[in-house]
Amino acid sequence: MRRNQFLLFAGIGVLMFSALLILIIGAFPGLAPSKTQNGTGDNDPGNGAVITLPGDQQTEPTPLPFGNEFESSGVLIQNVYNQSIKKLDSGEVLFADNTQFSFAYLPQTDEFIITILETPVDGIIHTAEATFVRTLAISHTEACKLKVSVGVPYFVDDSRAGKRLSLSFCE
Amino acid sequence: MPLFQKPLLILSIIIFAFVAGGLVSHATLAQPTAPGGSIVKSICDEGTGFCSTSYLDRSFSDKFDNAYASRICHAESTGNPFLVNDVCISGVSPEYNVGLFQINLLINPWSTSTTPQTLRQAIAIAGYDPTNTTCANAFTLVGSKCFVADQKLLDICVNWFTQPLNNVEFAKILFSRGDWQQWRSSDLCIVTN
Repeated sequence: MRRNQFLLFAGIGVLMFSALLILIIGAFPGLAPSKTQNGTGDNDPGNGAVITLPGDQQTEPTPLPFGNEFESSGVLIQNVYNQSIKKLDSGEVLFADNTQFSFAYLPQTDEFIITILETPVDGIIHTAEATFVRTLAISHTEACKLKVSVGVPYFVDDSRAGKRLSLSFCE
Repeated sequence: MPLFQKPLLILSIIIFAFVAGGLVSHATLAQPTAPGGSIVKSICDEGTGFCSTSYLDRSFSDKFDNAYASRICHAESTGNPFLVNDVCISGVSPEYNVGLFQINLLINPWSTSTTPQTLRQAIAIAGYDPTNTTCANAFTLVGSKCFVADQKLLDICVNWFTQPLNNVEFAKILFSRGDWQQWRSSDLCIVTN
């Protein structure tokens, strides 16, 4: 009987500890492991990414990559700064811009933004994605490891705006 | 039933309720929230990067304004600070919209006296009189069609509004003069709790 009692109380102890852990994680979501921080290359654009305000830089500015290639989310890509069309002082770079789409890279969140600028949206998305992987000289599998947000502005197509898409071949 | 089993049964029920409560609590907190903890409902997705709630928090500290700002920012520009919609060039609409919140340079800043200080400085450094010059002076507008009358001034204005912090701060000024209805995407991205 004493052995049974011991086992029961040990089980209760484990349950209570689990419940406490769940409550703590619930109260402090920041304690939960972040997908975007573990370097496993998930394609979540990363809600709540913190960016230093340009006018309030207390930390060192993000060093810009040099050379022919650099690493993003664990993937070696062509250096987009070598194809810069426009660059901000804080490091953001526009590296493709035409009537159909544009590509921007935000170094502080290591995020790529593909903006669709023309209809039909679905057709342009495929063209943009093909150009994106060709520009970065990567495979589809590698592209799916990057943080890429595909979006349609309201002025292009109000029925497709407001949604954050990932690369279509990653789904 | 042995003596120890009855209180043990009660204790088990309490623990079960505790664990279930913890799971429910975690599930609730895992839903999208505005700064401050309220659950936000909108057909639009929250923005990331420069359109994220954390980036916009310094300019839009109210939780619903912040949630709204993030979604409108993303719907307007997809978070691309370089985005320019120069639709007035083709005469479709009297708009030359720039940056995260797609600020229309044909009407913004709406007067030289309300031109932000750093933009006034940039205009002055380029040799213009900031008391008499604003971004609209870069254009000649005929109906809905615009012509670029001063490329140098336009470049100054586009560069200024392309800077994420400038664009967000100006959007805050615009918002404080009215509400989110000034952005057409606000019809799409209505935020409720």
